[in-house]
Amino acid sequence: MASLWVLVLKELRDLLRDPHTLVMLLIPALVYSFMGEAAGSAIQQAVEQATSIKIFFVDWDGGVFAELLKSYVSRMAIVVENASKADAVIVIPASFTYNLSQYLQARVVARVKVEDVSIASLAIINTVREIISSFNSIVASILSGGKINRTDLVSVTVFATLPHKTLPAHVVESIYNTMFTLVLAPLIVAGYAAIISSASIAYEKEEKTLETLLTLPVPRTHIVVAKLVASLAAATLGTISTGFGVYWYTVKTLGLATPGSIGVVEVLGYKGLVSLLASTMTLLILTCVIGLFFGMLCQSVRGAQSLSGLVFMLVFAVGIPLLMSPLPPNPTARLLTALIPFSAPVIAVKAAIIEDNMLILATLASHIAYTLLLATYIAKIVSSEKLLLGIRLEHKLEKY
Amino acid sequence: MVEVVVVDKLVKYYGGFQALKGVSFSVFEGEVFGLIGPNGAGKTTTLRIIATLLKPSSGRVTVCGYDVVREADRVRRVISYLPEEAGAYRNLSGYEYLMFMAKLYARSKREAEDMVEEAIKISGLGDRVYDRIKTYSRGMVRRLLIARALMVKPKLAILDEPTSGIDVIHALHIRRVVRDYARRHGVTILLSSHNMLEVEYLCDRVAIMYGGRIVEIGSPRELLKRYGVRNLEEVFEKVVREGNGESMGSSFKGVKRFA
Ligand SMILES: Nc1ncnc2c1ncn2[C@@H]1O[C@H](COP(=O)(O)OP(=O)(O)OP(=O)(O)O)[C@@H](O)[C@H]1O
Ligand SMILES: [Mg+2]
Repeated sequence: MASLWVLVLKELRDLLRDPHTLVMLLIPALVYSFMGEAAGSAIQQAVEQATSIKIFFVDWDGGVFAELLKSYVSRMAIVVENASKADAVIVIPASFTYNLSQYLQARVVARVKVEDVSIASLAIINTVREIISSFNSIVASILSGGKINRTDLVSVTVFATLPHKTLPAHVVESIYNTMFTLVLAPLIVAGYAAIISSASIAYEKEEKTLETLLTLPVPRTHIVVAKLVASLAAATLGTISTGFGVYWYTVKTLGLATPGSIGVVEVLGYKGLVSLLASTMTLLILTCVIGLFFGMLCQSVRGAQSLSGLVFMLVFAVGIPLLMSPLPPNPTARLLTALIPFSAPVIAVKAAIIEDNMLILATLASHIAYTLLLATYIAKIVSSEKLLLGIRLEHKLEKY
Repeated sequence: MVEVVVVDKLVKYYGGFQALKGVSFSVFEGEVFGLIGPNGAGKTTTLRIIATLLKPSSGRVTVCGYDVVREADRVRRVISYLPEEAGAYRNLSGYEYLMFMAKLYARSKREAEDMVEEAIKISGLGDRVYDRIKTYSRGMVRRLLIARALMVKPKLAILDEPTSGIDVIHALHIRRVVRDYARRHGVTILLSSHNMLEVEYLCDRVAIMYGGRIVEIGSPRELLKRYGVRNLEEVFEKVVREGNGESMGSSFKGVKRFA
């Protein structure tokens, strides 16, 4: 027993003295609380927006039930007099009062204006739907004094009006799910790409093959580019297989996209599909290059992997809240979101849905720019002795 | 005589620590030149700078006339470096490893095959060369690496403790190969070693390093005569133990942490 304790003590000391352990202990707490905060505020915002929703009525009926509906809605939402200021337009058909008084179904149509597909759009759609269906109990109590409880008299068909097209609400909901499915594979693999490429450099150090490699009659840049190409190839294959896995899980197992819902091409269009692929590649290249950089910082595979594990977390911390949140309505602010590192596939998919080509280009451009920036720094390291000796902070600090 | 390596007032700092304090020497064409000295003397540091791995803090080093800093690419084309502590890709076979290396140097497939054939002979690995490197012993890996360094017939082979970890029989074989290579192919060899027998047998000239300086230089025979002893080990011991700056010449003065 005593020897076990001695061993445990040695393990703990070794772990706690390793700076990488500290990184693994501290950073996830920060990253995930940031992610929770961001996702939480997206949900919060969506809820707030949905409770203070502005509705404009087009009343072709003018009857008593139409008036009743309007006054009922005005208790739960803000009824506005100007269609352009409204979040949703509810159309009451001419036969509304007549149908209800005959115990027949009456159908209203709601058009919800959304900037893009986000949790906020889903919330507005849902609120409109709930307000109208809760009106059923009012109708029932008026018609029968509460004796019958029909909930199907008033039904609502909700459409979502995106900047460039109008879609049935269930399609928008399905797009939201499809979006998750589409970007999940790139987001998962992006982290692994960093881990693969960082290990490929750190492995050479750990196995003591780097020193020989660096004296071979080949340009140093070739050595690094070869590692980049190989990691990227592995990551691309990984994306494809993860994509299949995610598809299987969400579509076949969870049944998120049921028959009759729409396919990827319908959601994105071919141009959108291309931009998704392009943005996935730019993300993978960026994370591979970050991985190479981390590999250069570390002397062991363990260190390199734990450091690039951060990329894994960051990609999710950025991607998931971004996927849930609506894009900013302001065009300049929208372009600025394209500057967020690791945002590429999410932004590209969102931009493809609302057909914002500028945004697609901006997100591709920003990721390529980050990659080139880091690549120039890496090129500097590669041609110096830092690749062999490691980048030591102590030495830098000593100079000051 | 043609100078293959010229090291001139070489200084190297690691952060704040001065590992080399003005090292100067030349290695001539076809020569086997040995660096000896106690642990931490700066042998590996010197060899790494010559092999373009580290940058001098000051001073100048040329190999075949090429500056190791400004013309590192050219230097790499004429040298072959065996690190002090080196591994080989574990998942390759020895043969695959040699072939990979040969292809980077050879101009044709035929030339690459010749190199590998030569390497198999040097390594003495026999049929084991077709096994995965992860199944090799430490000495076998070392022999593979020496073979890979020599097979390309470089102008300059830089070998940092080439025979460390190799058994007596194989070490003898390697020493013969090294000597033979230097003679037959005009390969200049710069090596470091802790084995004085090896140095005496192999080297035309020896430099003794201590505390980042070269404190003695000459042929083994000259050194034996100068110190009036029978073997290099005794020279080494005398230099390291008795060195007080008086009998060793001016370059030796001011070595503070001496013995
Ligand atoms: N990467 C490094 N960072 C800091 N100091 C270093 C580094 N490499 C070597 N040194 C220091 O430089 C000095 C010379 O080291 P070097 O490895 O050149 O010695 P050596 O003569 O090869 O010794 P050995 O016989 O043990 O191989 C030593 O004091 C060592 O501690
Ligand atoms: Mg050494």
